[in-house]
Order: sequence, then structure tokens, then C-alpha cells
Amino acid sequence: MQLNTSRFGTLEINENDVYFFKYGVFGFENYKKFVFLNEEESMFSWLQSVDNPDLAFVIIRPIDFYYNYILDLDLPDANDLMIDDNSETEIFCIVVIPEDTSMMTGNLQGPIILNKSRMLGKQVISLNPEHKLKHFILDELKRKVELEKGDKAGEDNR
Amino acid sequence: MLVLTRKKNESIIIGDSVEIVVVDIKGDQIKIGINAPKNISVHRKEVYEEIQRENILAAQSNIKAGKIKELDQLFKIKKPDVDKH
Repeated sequence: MQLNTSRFGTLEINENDVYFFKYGVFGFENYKKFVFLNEEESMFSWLQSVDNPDLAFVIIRPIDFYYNYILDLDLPDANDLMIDDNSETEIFCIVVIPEDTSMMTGNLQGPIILNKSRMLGKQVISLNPEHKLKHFILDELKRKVELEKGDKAGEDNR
Repeated sequence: MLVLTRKKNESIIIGDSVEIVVVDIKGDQIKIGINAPKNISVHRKEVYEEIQRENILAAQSNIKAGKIKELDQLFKIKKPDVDKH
């Protein structure tokens, strides 16, 4: 299947690589099919809509910039995603990139879960009150680096 | 929409398994208790709306595919700063 995207030109997409989002993502409930596009040697990736070639989100793994990231998955979400003990899942968050890119934010309140084993995806709502709509990614990363340094104080002989 | 009048401590049952209790009423604020099975999600509506707006904002980010590497550069600039302390 070919997809003429505004950002990536023509993409050749294998039907098996399409994630099905039963509820779309918030604000784009009608678009239910997405492909995950990897950026080589980058912290970022893309979630490209298959139904709307102009719609793509920059995404990042929360564990890559947020200290001690843990998501407690709500049971209804786990059910929708058909997650079981053998599922290979990944968590991402959507990045908002303003004009001043250093002010980019990640949305930890509405993370995206992909169940790779079933090719299902869902944007869920985190029940952790510390997970906000806007986390400044560079600030969080700085905090993460500092705190992790503290965590392994003594081991680090740099 | 079905509209029901309830007093404090009165409740409504939805289906077989969801109970909504009026826990307290103070001025224009009503405290609502919800008893629902674990397989039903309960969220404040504003949370949905905020995430919707945030997604729309994210979709408007006009970053080109080839520009993503520049974002990674920001990380590399920031990291040495942290390490110097």
C-alpha cells in the first residue's frame, strides 16, 4: 500500500505494520490507523496517520527524558490493547514543538501505548498526578541526568 | 439527556455496576463519588479536552521530517552543561 504523505513523500507501507487505534487519538478520533516511523540515531520517532497523510506526530519515549518514568496502566486500557504477559509493548508521548524548539514539551498525561504483539495502539490517560500535559523535555532531561547521577553516586568515577 | 434531582447522600445506578453518589454539596461545588468496576474508566472531562487541544497543537508543529536531527542536537548541547557541575 502506498501513502503520499506531506512530510515523508511517498511511503510504501506494509499492511502488517499498521497499528489500529480503536479510538483514534484525542482530537483525531476518526483516524484509526497509524504507522510507527523510526528516525535513525534519534530520540524521536513519528506516528504517521494512514488515513490522513498530512497528520503525523513527533513522539518520544518518556523513559528517555523523564526520571524514573512508571506508568500504571488502567485495566480498561490494558483490555483495549489486549495486553497480556507475553505482549511486547512500548510507551511514547506526543511532542509539541514550538517555534523555539528548545521549549518543546512532552505530554505525559496522555501517553501512547503500542502493543506490538497485536499491532494495537491507544492514547491513554495517566492516573499519576505528576504526569502533566506539558513537560519541558530539555529541563526534564537535565533533571533526569542529575538525579540518576545521584542514584549511582560512588559508582561513577568520571 | 435524562435529568434527575438528587439530595446529598442519594445516588444513581447506571447499568448493573456503576453507582454515582452525591457525597457533598457546598455552594456551586458538588462532590461526587463513583463506584464502578475496574474495567470502566472514569476521568474528568476537562482532561480529555486538554489532551485533545494538546494533540491538535502537536499536529500543527510544522517540523519537517529532516529537521528532527536538529532536535537531537539540542540534547547534545544540554548534556555537557549538566556534566560540568
